[in-house]
Amino acid sequence: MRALTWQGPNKLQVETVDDPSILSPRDAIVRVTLSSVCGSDLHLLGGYVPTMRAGDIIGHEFMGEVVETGSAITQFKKGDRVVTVSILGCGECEHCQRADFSCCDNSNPNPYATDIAYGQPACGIIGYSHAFGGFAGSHATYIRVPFADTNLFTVPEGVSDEQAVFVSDAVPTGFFAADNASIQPGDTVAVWGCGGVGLMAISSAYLLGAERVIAIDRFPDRLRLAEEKAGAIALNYEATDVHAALLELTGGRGPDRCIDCVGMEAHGTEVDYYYDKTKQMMRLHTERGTVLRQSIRACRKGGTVSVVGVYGGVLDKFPMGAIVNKSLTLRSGQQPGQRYVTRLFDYIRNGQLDPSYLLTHPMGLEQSVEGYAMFKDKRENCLRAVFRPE
Amino acid sequence: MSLLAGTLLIANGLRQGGFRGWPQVLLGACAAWRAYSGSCRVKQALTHSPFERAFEQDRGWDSSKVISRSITIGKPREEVFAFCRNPANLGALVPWVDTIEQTGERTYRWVAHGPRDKTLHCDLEQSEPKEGRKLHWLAAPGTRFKHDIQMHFSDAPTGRGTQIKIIVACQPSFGAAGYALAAAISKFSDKALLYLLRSVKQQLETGEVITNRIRPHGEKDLLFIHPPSSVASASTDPSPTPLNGGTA
Repeated sequence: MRALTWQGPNKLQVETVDDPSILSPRDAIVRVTLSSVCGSDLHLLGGYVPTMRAGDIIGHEFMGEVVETGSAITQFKKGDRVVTVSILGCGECEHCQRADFSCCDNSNPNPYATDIAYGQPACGIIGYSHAFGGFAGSHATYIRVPFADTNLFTVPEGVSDEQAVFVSDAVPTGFFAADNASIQPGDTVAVWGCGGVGLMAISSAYLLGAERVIAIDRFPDRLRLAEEKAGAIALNYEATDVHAALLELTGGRGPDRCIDCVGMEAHGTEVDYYYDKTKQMMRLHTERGTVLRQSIRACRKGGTVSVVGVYGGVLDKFPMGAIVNKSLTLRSGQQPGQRYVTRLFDYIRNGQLDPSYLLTHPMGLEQSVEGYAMFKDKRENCLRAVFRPE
Repeated sequence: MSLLAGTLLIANGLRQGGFRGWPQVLLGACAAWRAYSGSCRVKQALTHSPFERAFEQDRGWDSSKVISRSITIGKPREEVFAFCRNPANLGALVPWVDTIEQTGERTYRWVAHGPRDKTLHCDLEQSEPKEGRKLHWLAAPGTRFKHDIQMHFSDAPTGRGTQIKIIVACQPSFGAAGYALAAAISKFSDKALLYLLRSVKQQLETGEVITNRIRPHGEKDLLFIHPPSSVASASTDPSPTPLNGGTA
């Protein structure tokens, strides 16, 4: 089969690799019909996530058709149109039983790296480095999905492929961010980052009762989408003092809930950004924490900061004093999408949510190297390049 | 002593300077720090832990190196115990174990592939289990390196299944040097023990040990060699579900 493989920092290549096969009774093989780029892939591409190896197939946001199932699969059959949550849960451990699928104990076959770095091993993630399991990714003709009964979901009638593909990651991540923020009716929510996840977090915040959502980014086309498609108030941080603007928009209180949808490669205009960037370039640390610091500083006293932007290692100059002295709640995690997929499909079918506008650049898998370049450089207003393997 | 040696090294290093002097300054600073802090990592590494001292006293061993790991498995204690008491089930989860041969009513020979294509074996004798509570294996009489392996089973709080605590002790020879060598090796065996426990957890909770392979290259195939029928009929072990590749 054909697949997009990582060959080194900023080096991708489409090549022919082995087809996957069923290795366990709980596996399924899916023929990929749509597979999207994701902002978190850029951390892999830039070499900021260690444990990548040349030849690794990347991609984790996808949908497709079941072509083969293991003997223990009961929920799916050949020909089913499915979407996959790529943050893998086993469905059996105590975390999965609590619906905290992204804390799964059993889905990572390479627990060594995260065991050392985090104290306990992280769950497995499709197409996201060997530290998270070393699973082959979805930018390929076929993919093996472990624990398929837990991680596959049938796409219902009335939901198009262009909508369904984002229920794999961008939509549940955005929804998880808003859900984790404990939004109360009437709250003002600030969302940093207007990529696919940020836009879905804005829509989700409204679905969960927010009165106003303020969107922060620097790209005019993304801010326009935040206003027109998601109904947010847009702030361009390159043209505005974000902290002052947030206080002005909230009567001096600060936003009730702040959501970081940016993560470890945050940009900024203040001195801390240049400090972070320098240390990151010198490989002295892994994270640029500009957005996290801004959100903690802006959040109203007693408010909640919800983080779904990807962080991988250790962060310098973390404002713990603000968290303690403003009684903030900090919540985070990889998205446990299995918890939300059915509910999200209902929102889509009811017309309350439409993620299809995220798909700005459909293209074939053979053009995927160019697709990532466009996505990375934000060329042609590329919000999401989505590949259709031939 | 450390303070004196450190001071002399620093003084000599500063006098010499250059590539020969500065390492002496660094070494002297380490020695001075050791004197100031009162703690020495080398000495710590050679000191038997309180648990090891108690273990030695209990078993009458002159030395021991003990490692211990725990895990919680979301299954009832009886099920976990029944799985663990069958060596074939555990052996199938250890990547470098090739065969397990039942050589007597309670004795098993574990054969593993070591470095440079060497074959290693270890004869273990299983003591009478405390049903649902404890499994215990000892190195068979005449074995060169004494081992004592215990698995303790208890109910996890709030209905979260079963806690396993596994304690592995070996009796190193050659005094402090042997203890230091055993301590160094235990850094690796400690991880191996943890990964074995995680595999047991995965197998029991999900029915498989997760893999990231695309195709089934290098599939492990543990061979469990059955005892003669007379021995097998005397065995008190239940017959848990065989694993992939196993013939138990």
